[in-house]
Amino acid sequence: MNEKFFILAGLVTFLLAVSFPFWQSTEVEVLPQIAMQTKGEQCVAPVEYMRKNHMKLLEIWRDSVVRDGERFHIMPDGSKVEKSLTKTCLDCHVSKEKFCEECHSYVNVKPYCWECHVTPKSGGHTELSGIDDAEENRQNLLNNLLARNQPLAENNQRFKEGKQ
Amino acid sequence: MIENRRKFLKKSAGLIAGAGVVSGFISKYTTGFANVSNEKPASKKSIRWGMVIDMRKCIDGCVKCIEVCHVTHNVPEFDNPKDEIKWIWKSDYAKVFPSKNQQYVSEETRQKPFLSLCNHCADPPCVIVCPTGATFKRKDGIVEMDFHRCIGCRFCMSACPYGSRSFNWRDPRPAIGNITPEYPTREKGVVEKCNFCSERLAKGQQPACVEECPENVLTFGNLYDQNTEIRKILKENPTITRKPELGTNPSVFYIT
Repeated sequence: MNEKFFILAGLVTFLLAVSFPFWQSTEVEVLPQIAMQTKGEQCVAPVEYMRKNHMKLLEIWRDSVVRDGERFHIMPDGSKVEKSLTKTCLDCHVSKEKFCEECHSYVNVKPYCWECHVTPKSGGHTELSGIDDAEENRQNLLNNLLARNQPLAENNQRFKEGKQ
Repeated sequence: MIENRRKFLKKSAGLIAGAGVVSGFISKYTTGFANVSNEKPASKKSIRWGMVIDMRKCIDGCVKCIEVCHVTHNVPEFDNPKDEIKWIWKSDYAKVFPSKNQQYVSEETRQKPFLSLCNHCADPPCVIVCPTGATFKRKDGIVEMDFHRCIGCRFCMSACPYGSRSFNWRDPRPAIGNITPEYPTREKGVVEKCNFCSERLAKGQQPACVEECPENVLTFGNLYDQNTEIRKILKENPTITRKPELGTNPSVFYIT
Protein backbone atom coordinates (compact mmCIF):
# COMPACT_ATOMS: atom_id res chain seq x y z
CA MET A 1 0.00 0.00 0.00
CA ASN A 2 2.98 2.27 0.53
CA GLU A 3 3.53 2.32 -3.18
CA LYS A 4 0.27 4.16 -3.79
CA PHE A 5 1.84 7.46 -2.80
CA PHE A 6 4.81 7.03 -5.12
CA ILE A 7 2.64 5.99 -8.01
CA LEU A 8 0.36 8.98 -7.61
CA ALA A 9 3.25 11.38 -7.16
CA GLY A 10 4.94 10.00 -10.27
CA LEU A 11 1.70 10.25 -12.22
CA VAL A 12 1.16 13.84 -11.19
CA THR A 13 4.74 14.79 -12.07
CA PHE A 14 4.39 13.09 -15.40
CA LEU A 15 1.12 14.90 -16.19
CA LEU A 16 2.60 18.22 -15.14
CA ALA A 17 5.61 17.69 -17.34
CA VAL A 18 3.52 16.65 -20.32
CA SER A 19 1.09 19.51 -20.01
CA PHE A 20 3.85 22.03 -19.27
CA PRO A 21 3.70 23.78 -22.66
CA PHE A 22 -0.06 24.25 -22.37
CA TRP A 23 -0.36 25.92 -18.98
CA GLN A 24 3.02 27.63 -19.05
CA SER A 25 2.62 29.77 -22.17
CA THR A 26 0.47 32.44 -20.72
CA GLU A 27 2.84 35.11 -21.95
CA VAL A 28 2.11 36.90 -25.20
CA GLU A 29 3.84 35.15 -28.06
CA VAL A 30 6.58 37.16 -29.79
CA LEU A 31 5.63 37.26 -33.43
CA PRO A 32 8.23 38.06 -36.07
CA GLN A 33 8.45 41.75 -36.76
CA ILE A 34 8.56 42.02 -40.51
CA ALA A 35 9.82 45.22 -42.06
CA MET A 36 7.20 46.20 -44.59
CA GLN A 37 8.79 49.38 -45.89
CA THR A 38 9.31 49.21 -49.62
CA LYS A 39 10.67 51.42 -52.36
CA GLY A 40 7.93 50.73 -54.86
CA GLU A 41 4.18 51.02 -54.48
CA GLN A 42 2.92 47.78 -55.96
CA CYS A 43 3.91 44.17 -55.55
CA VAL A 44 4.30 41.68 -58.38
CA ALA A 45 1.13 39.93 -57.16
CA PRO A 46 -1.58 40.62 -54.54
CA VAL A 47 -0.20 40.71 -51.00
CA GLU A 48 -2.50 37.91 -49.78
CA TYR A 49 -1.23 35.62 -52.55
CA MET A 50 2.38 36.55 -51.87
CA ARG A 51 2.07 35.83 -48.15
CA LYS A 52 1.01 32.27 -48.79
CA ASN A 53 2.65 31.50 -52.10
CA HIS A 54 5.83 33.55 -52.53
CA MET A 55 7.90 30.36 -52.60
CA LYS A 56 5.72 28.93 -55.37
CA LEU A 57 5.94 32.13 -57.36
CA LEU A 58 9.73 32.13 -57.02
CA GLU A 59 9.87 28.54 -58.29
CA ILE A 60 7.64 29.38 -61.26
CA TRP A 61 9.86 32.37 -62.01
CA ARG A 62 13.02 30.28 -61.67
CA ASP A 63 11.81 27.64 -64.12
CA SER A 64 10.49 30.10 -66.67
CA VAL A 65 13.69 32.17 -66.63
CA VAL A 66 16.18 29.31 -66.72
CA ARG A 67 14.31 26.76 -68.81
CA ASP A 68 12.26 28.93 -71.16
CA GLY A 69 14.28 32.15 -71.18
CA GLU A 70 11.21 34.21 -70.27
CA ARG A 71 12.75 36.83 -68.10
CA PHE A 72 10.05 39.43 -67.61
CA HIS A 73 6.99 39.63 -65.41
CA ILE A 74 4.02 41.86 -66.14
CA MET A 75 3.06 43.94 -63.12
CA PRO A 76 -0.59 44.58 -62.18
CA ASP A 77 -0.34 48.04 -63.78
CA GLY A 78 1.07 46.60 -67.01
CA SER A 79 4.72 47.54 -66.56
CA LYS A 80 7.52 45.01 -66.97
CA VAL A 81 9.94 43.87 -64.30
CA GLU A 82 12.67 41.26 -64.35
CA LYS A 83 11.72 37.92 -62.79
CA SER A 84 14.42 38.11 -60.18
CA LEU A 85 14.54 37.63 -56.45
CA THR A 86 17.67 39.72 -56.10
CA LYS A 87 17.03 42.35 -58.74
CA THR A 88 13.29 42.89 -58.31
CA CYS A 89 12.07 41.61 -54.92
CA LEU A 90 15.02 42.72 -52.85
CA ASP A 91 15.40 45.97 -54.72
CA CYS A 92 11.98 46.98 -53.42
CA HIS A 93 12.03 45.24 -50.04
CA VAL A 94 15.16 46.92 -48.82
CA SER A 95 16.00 44.67 -45.87
CA LYS A 96 16.58 40.98 -46.43
CA GLU A 97 17.22 40.42 -42.73
CA LYS A 98 13.95 42.01 -41.70
CA PHE A 99 11.84 40.91 -44.63
CA CYS A 100 12.96 37.33 -45.36
CA GLU A 101 14.95 36.00 -42.47
CA GLU A 102 12.78 37.31 -39.65
CA CYS A 103 9.93 35.03 -40.68
CA HIS A 104 12.03 32.16 -41.97
CA SER A 105 13.87 31.81 -38.70
CA TYR A 106 10.57 32.03 -36.76
CA VAL A 107 9.06 29.11 -38.69
CA ASN A 108 12.47 27.41 -38.95
CA VAL A 109 12.64 27.03 -42.69
CA LYS A 110 16.00 27.24 -44.42
CA PRO A 111 15.64 28.12 -48.08
CA TYR A 112 18.92 27.60 -49.92
CA CYS A 113 18.57 30.56 -52.30
CA TRP A 114 21.53 32.34 -50.77
CA GLU A 115 23.99 29.49 -51.16
CA CYS A 116 24.39 30.81 -54.71
CA HIS A 117 22.37 33.97 -55.19
CA VAL A 118 23.92 37.15 -53.90
CA THR A 119 22.25 39.93 -51.94
CA PRO A 120 22.27 43.06 -54.11
CA LYS A 121 24.33 46.13 -53.39
CA SER A 122 21.31 48.41 -53.59
CA GLY A 123 19.07 49.27 -50.66
CA GLY A 124 20.04 48.46 -47.12
CA HIS A 125 21.81 45.19 -47.90
CA THR A 126 25.34 45.09 -46.60
CA GLU A 127 26.31 41.46 -46.87
CA LEU A 128 28.60 41.61 -49.88
CA SER A 129 32.16 40.66 -49.18
CA GLY A 130 35.21 42.31 -50.58
CA ILE A 131 33.71 45.63 -51.61
CA ASP A 132 36.41 47.56 -49.73
CA ASP A 133 39.29 46.01 -51.66
CA ALA A 134 37.61 45.90 -55.05
CA GLU A 135 40.62 47.25 -56.90
CA GLU A 136 43.01 44.91 -55.17
CA ASN A 137 40.83 41.88 -55.86
CA ARG A 138 40.53 42.71 -59.53
CA GLN A 139 44.29 43.14 -59.74
CA ASN A 140 44.79 39.77 -58.05
CA LEU A 141 42.50 38.11 -60.55
CA LEU A 142 44.37 39.71 -63.43
CA ASN A 143 47.74 38.67 -62.00
CA ASN A 144 46.55 35.09 -61.55
CA LEU A 145 45.28 34.90 -65.10
CA LEU A 146 48.46 36.47 -66.47
CA ALA A 147 50.59 34.06 -64.48
CA ARG A 148 48.61 31.10 -65.75
CA ASN A 149 48.90 32.23 -69.34
CA GLN A 150 52.49 33.34 -69.07
CA PRO A 151 54.30 30.14 -70.09
CA LEU A 152 52.48 29.99 -73.43
CA ALA A 153 53.21 33.63 -74.15
CA GLU A 154 56.84 33.13 -73.21
CA ASN A 155 57.15 30.13 -75.48
CA ASN A 156 55.79 32.18 -78.25
CA GLN A 157 58.20 34.99 -77.49
CA ARG A 158 61.11 32.59 -77.70
CA PHE A 159 59.78 31.31 -80.99
CA LYS A 160 59.48 34.82 -82.37
CA GLU A 161 63.01 35.70 -81.33
CA GLY A 162 64.35 32.49 -82.78
CA LYS A 163 62.72 33.19 -86.11
CA GLN A 164 64.28 36.60 -86.51
CA MET B 1 -1.98 -31.65 -87.13
CA ILE B 2 1.30 -31.74 -89.00
CA GLU B 3 -0.23 -29.67 -91.76
CA ASN B 4 -1.28 -27.02 -89.28
CA ARG B 5 2.10 -26.90 -87.72
CA ARG B 6 3.72 -26.49 -91.14
CA LYS B 7 1.36 -23.62 -91.96
CA PHE B 8 2.00 -22.03 -88.62
CA LEU B 9 5.76 -22.09 -89.12
CA LYS B 10 5.46 -20.66 -92.62
CA LYS B 11 3.22 -17.86 -91.47
CA SER B 12 5.35 -16.91 -88.49
CA ALA B 13 8.51 -16.90 -90.61
CA GLY B 14 6.81 -14.54 -93.03
CA LEU B 15 5.63 -12.34 -90.20
CA ILE B 16 9.08 -12.08 -88.66
CA ALA B 17 10.70 -11.27 -92.00
CA GLY B 18 8.09 -8.61 -92.63
CA ALA B 19 8.56 -7.07 -89.22
CA GLY B 20 12.31 -6.98 -89.80
CA VAL B 21 11.94 -5.12 -93.08
CA VAL B 22 9.47 -2.64 -91.61
CA SER B 23 11.57 -1.93 -88.53
CA GLY B 24 14.57 -1.38 -90.81
CA PHE B 25 12.68 1.33 -92.64
CA ILE B 26 11.35 2.83 -89.44
CA SER B 27 14.79 3.14 -87.89
CA LYS B 28 16.23 4.51 -91.11
CA TYR B 29 13.81 7.38 -91.24
CA THR B 30 12.95 8.11 -87.67
CA THR B 31 15.86 7.51 -85.32
CA GLY B 32 16.93 10.87 -84.05
CA PHE B 33 18.77 9.65 -81.01
CA ALA B 34 21.98 11.62 -81.28
CA ASN B 35 20.91 13.61 -84.28
CA VAL B 36 19.16 16.49 -82.59
CA SER B 37 20.78 19.18 -84.69
CA ASN B 38 18.46 21.41 -86.59
CA GLU B 39 20.69 22.47 -89.40
CA LYS B 40 17.72 24.03 -91.08
CA PRO B 41 15.98 26.76 -89.11
CA ALA B 42 12.47 25.89 -87.98
CA SER B 43 11.19 29.30 -89.03
CA LYS B 44 12.52 32.60 -90.29
CA LYS B 45 12.74 33.90 -86.75
CA SER B 46 14.83 30.93 -85.55
CA ILE B 47 18.16 31.69 -83.95
CA ARG B 48 21.30 29.62 -83.61
CA TRP B 49 23.94 31.59 -81.73
CA GLY B 50 27.49 31.03 -82.84
CA MET B 51 30.96 32.49 -82.56
CA VAL B 52 33.96 32.91 -84.82
CA ILE B 53 37.40 33.18 -83.20
CA ASP B 54 39.94 34.82 -85.48
CA MET B 55 43.17 33.53 -83.98
CA ARG B 56 45.26 35.59 -86.39
CA LYS B 57 44.34 38.68 -84.38
CA CYS B 58 44.55 37.20 -80.86
CA ILE B 59 47.44 38.60 -78.82
CA ASP B 60 49.58 36.22 -76.75
CA GLY B 61 49.49 37.00 -73.08
CA CYS B 62 46.32 39.09 -73.33
CA VAL B 63 43.71 37.82 -70.87
CA LYS B 64 41.06 40.53 -71.14
CA CYS B 65 38.25 38.24 -72.34
CA ILE B 66 39.02 35.73 -69.58
CA GLU B 67 39.14 38.42 -66.93
CA VAL B 68 35.85 40.05 -67.88
CA CYS B 69 34.14 36.64 -68.11
CA HIS B 70 35.34 35.62 -64.67
CA VAL B 71 34.24 38.92 -63.15
CA THR B 72 30.83 38.84 -64.85
CA HIS B 73 30.03 35.28 -63.86
CA ASN B 74 31.73 35.06 -60.46
CA VAL B 75 34.16 32.38 -61.61
CA PRO B 76 36.36 31.38 -58.65
CA GLU B 77 40.17 31.41 -58.72
CA PHE B 78 41.64 28.44 -56.87
CA ASP B 79 45.34 28.11 -56.14
CA ASN B 80 45.40 24.39 -56.88
CA PRO B 81 45.25 23.83 -60.66
CA LYS B 82 43.23 20.65 -60.04
CA ASP B 83 40.38 22.80 -58.74
CA GLU B 84 40.47 25.21 -61.67
CA ILE B 85 37.12 26.44 -62.99
CA LYS B 86 37.19 27.29 -66.68
CA TRP B 87 34.66 29.18 -68.77
CA ILE B 88 36.97 30.63 -71.39
CA TRP B 89 40.68 29.85 -71.32
CA LYS B 90 43.81 29.60 -73.42
CA SER B 91 45.33 26.28 -74.33
CA ASP B 92 47.96 24.83 -76.70
CA TYR B 93 47.03 24.37 -80.34
CA ALA B 94 47.77 20.65 -80.02
CA LYS B 95 45.28 20.35 -77.16
CA VAL B 96 42.57 22.35 -78.87
CA PHE B 97 42.94 20.52 -82.19
CA PRO B 98 44.21 17.05 -81.34
CA SER B 99 42.55 15.42 -84.33
CA LYS B 100 44.59 15.80 -87.48
CA ASN B 101 42.13 17.85 -89.44
CA GLN B 102 44.86 20.22 -90.56
CA GLN B 103 48.18 19.25 -92.07
CA TYR B 104 51.34 21.30 -92.46
CA VAL B 105 50.16 23.89 -89.96
CA SER B 106 52.47 26.86 -89.73
CA GLU B 107 54.86 26.97 -86.80
CA GLU B 108 53.34 30.27 -85.70
CA THR B 109 49.87 28.78 -85.41
CA ARG B 110 51.12 25.73 -83.56
CA GLN B 111 52.93 27.89 -81.01
CA LYS B 112 49.95 30.09 -80.33
CA PRO B 113 47.80 29.78 -77.21
CA PHE B 114 44.31 29.09 -78.55
CA LEU B 115 41.16 30.40 -76.97
CA SER B 116 38.75 27.69 -75.96
CA LEU B 117 35.28 27.73 -74.51
CA CYS B 118 32.09 25.67 -74.62
CA ASN B 119 31.31 24.95 -78.27
CA HIS B 120 27.53 25.03 -77.77
CA CYS B 121 27.30 22.03 -80.06
CA ALA B 122 24.26 21.46 -82.21
CA ASP B 123 24.44 17.80 -81.11
CA PRO B 124 25.68 18.17 -77.54
CA PRO B 125 26.78 14.89 -75.92
CA CYS B 126 26.59 16.48 -72.47
CA VAL B 127 22.84 17.03 -72.89
CA ILE B 128 22.29 13.39 -73.88
CA VAL B 129 24.02 12.02 -70.77
CA CYS B 130 22.66 14.43 -68.15
CA PRO B 131 20.37 12.32 -65.94
CA THR B 132 18.42 15.23 -64.44
CA GLY B 133 17.99 17.50 -67.43
CA ALA B 134 20.14 20.12 -65.73
CA THR B 135 22.03 20.60 -68.97
CA PHE B 136 19.76 21.28 -71.89
CA LYS B 137 19.79 22.85 -75.31
CA ARG B 138 17.80 26.02 -75.70
CA LYS B 139 15.82 26.84 -78.82
CA ASP B 140 18.45 29.41 -79.76
CA GLY B 141 21.19 26.76 -79.73
CA ILE B 142 22.77 27.66 -76.41
CA VAL B 143 23.69 24.66 -74.28
CA GLU B 144 22.56 25.99 -70.93
CA MET B 145 23.04 24.75 -67.39
CA ASP B 146 20.30 24.84 -64.82
CA PHE B 147 22.43 24.91 -61.68
CA HIS B 148 19.36 24.24 -59.56
CA ARG B 149 19.02 20.77 -61.02
CA CYS B 150 22.70 19.76 -61.16
CA ILE B 151 23.42 16.85 -58.82
CA GLY B 152 27.15 16.88 -59.51
CA CYS B 153 27.36 13.42 -61.10
CA ARG B 154 29.87 14.72 -63.69
CA PHE B 155 28.56 12.54 -66.53
CA CYS B 156 28.58 15.68 -68.68
CA MET B 157 32.25 16.24 -67.91
CA SER B 158 33.19 12.83 -69.22
CA ALA B 159 30.86 13.23 -72.20
CA CYS B 160 32.20 16.63 -73.28
CA PRO B 161 34.99 16.06 -75.79
CA TYR B 162 36.33 19.58 -75.31
CA GLY B 163 36.91 19.70 -71.56
CA SER B 164 34.63 22.70 -71.36
CA ARG B 165 33.11 21.76 -68.03
CA SER B 166 34.49 22.22 -64.54
CA PHE B 167 33.40 20.81 -61.22
CA ASN B 168 33.27 22.76 -58.00
CA TRP B 169 35.29 20.54 -55.69
CA ARG B 170 35.27 23.28 -53.07
CA ASP B 171 32.95 26.05 -52.00
CA PRO B 172 33.61 28.69 -54.68
CA ARG B 173 32.53 31.73 -52.63
CA PRO B 174 35.78 32.32 -50.73
CA ALA B 175 37.75 32.06 -53.99
CA ILE B 176 35.87 34.86 -55.70
CA GLY B 177 37.51 38.25 -55.22
CA ASN B 178 34.59 40.58 -55.78
CA ILE B 179 31.22 38.97 -56.09
CA THR B 180 29.14 40.49 -58.87
CA PRO B 181 25.67 40.44 -57.33
CA GLU B 182 23.85 40.41 -60.68
CA TYR B 183 24.94 36.81 -61.35
CA PRO B 184 24.71 33.96 -58.85
CA THR B 185 27.76 32.07 -57.63
CA ARG B 186 27.70 28.30 -57.64
CA GLU B 187 27.95 25.95 -54.70
CA LYS B 188 30.16 23.00 -53.93
CA GLY B 189 29.25 19.92 -55.97
CA VAL B 190 27.93 21.69 -59.07
CA VAL B 191 29.31 21.61 -62.61
CA GLU B 192 29.63 24.85 -64.53
CA LYS B 193 30.65 26.13 -67.95
CA CYS B 194 30.31 28.99 -70.43
CA ASN B 195 26.69 30.00 -71.08
CA PHE B 196 27.35 32.28 -74.09
CA CYS B 197 26.27 35.10 -71.74
CA SER B 198 22.61 34.16 -72.12
CA GLU B 199 21.77 36.65 -69.35
CA ARG B 200 23.33 39.45 -71.41
CA LEU B 201 21.75 38.29 -74.67
CA ALA B 202 18.35 38.61 -72.99
CA LYS B 203 19.07 42.33 -72.60
CA GLY B 204 20.21 42.66 -76.21
CA GLN B 205 23.89 42.83 -75.29
CA GLN B 206 26.77 40.90 -76.82
CA PRO B 207 28.67 38.35 -74.72
CA ALA B 208 31.11 40.02 -72.34
CA CYS B 209 34.22 38.49 -73.95
CA VAL B 210 33.18 39.69 -77.40
CA GLU B 211 32.57 43.19 -76.12
CA GLU B 212 35.82 43.36 -74.15
CA CYS B 213 38.25 42.05 -76.78
CA PRO B 214 40.43 44.97 -77.97
CA GLU B 215 41.35 43.25 -81.26
CA ASN B 216 37.90 42.07 -82.41
CA VAL B 217 39.06 38.48 -82.29
CA LEU B 218 35.59 37.27 -81.38
CA THR B 219 32.51 37.69 -83.55
CA PHE B 220 29.16 36.61 -82.21
CA GLY B 221 25.87 36.31 -84.05
CA ASN B 222 22.98 34.32 -85.42
CA LEU B 223 24.20 31.54 -87.70
CA TYR B 224 20.76 31.12 -89.27
CA ASP B 225 20.61 34.70 -90.52
CA GLN B 226 22.51 35.02 -93.78
CA ASN B 227 22.98 38.77 -93.39
CA THR B 228 24.86 38.73 -90.10
CA GLU B 229 28.50 39.66 -89.69
CA ILE B 230 29.33 36.15 -88.52
CA ARG B 231 27.91 34.55 -91.68
CA LYS B 232 29.85 37.05 -93.78
CA ILE B 233 33.07 36.06 -92.02
CA LEU B 234 32.26 32.36 -92.39
CA LYS B 235 31.64 32.86 -96.09
CA GLU B 236 34.84 34.78 -96.70
CA ASN B 237 37.27 32.76 -94.57
CA PRO B 238 38.13 29.09 -94.30
CA THR B 239 37.27 28.03 -90.75
CA ILE B 240 37.77 24.89 -88.71
CA THR B 241 35.89 23.45 -85.75
CA ARG B 242 37.16 21.26 -82.95
CA LYS B 243 37.03 17.47 -83.40
CA PRO B 244 34.65 17.52 -86.38
CA GLU B 245 34.88 13.72 -86.66
CA LEU B 246 32.71 13.38 -83.54
CA GLY B 247 29.71 14.92 -85.24
CA THR B 248 28.91 17.31 -82.42
CA ASN B 249 28.56 20.23 -84.84
CA PRO B 250 30.14 22.98 -82.76
CA SER B 251 28.83 26.53 -83.00
CA VAL B 252 32.31 27.94 -82.36
CA PHE B 253 34.49 28.33 -85.45
CA TYR B 254 38.20 29.10 -85.69
CA ILE B 255 40.17 31.03 -88.27
CA THR B 256 43.79 29.95 -87.88
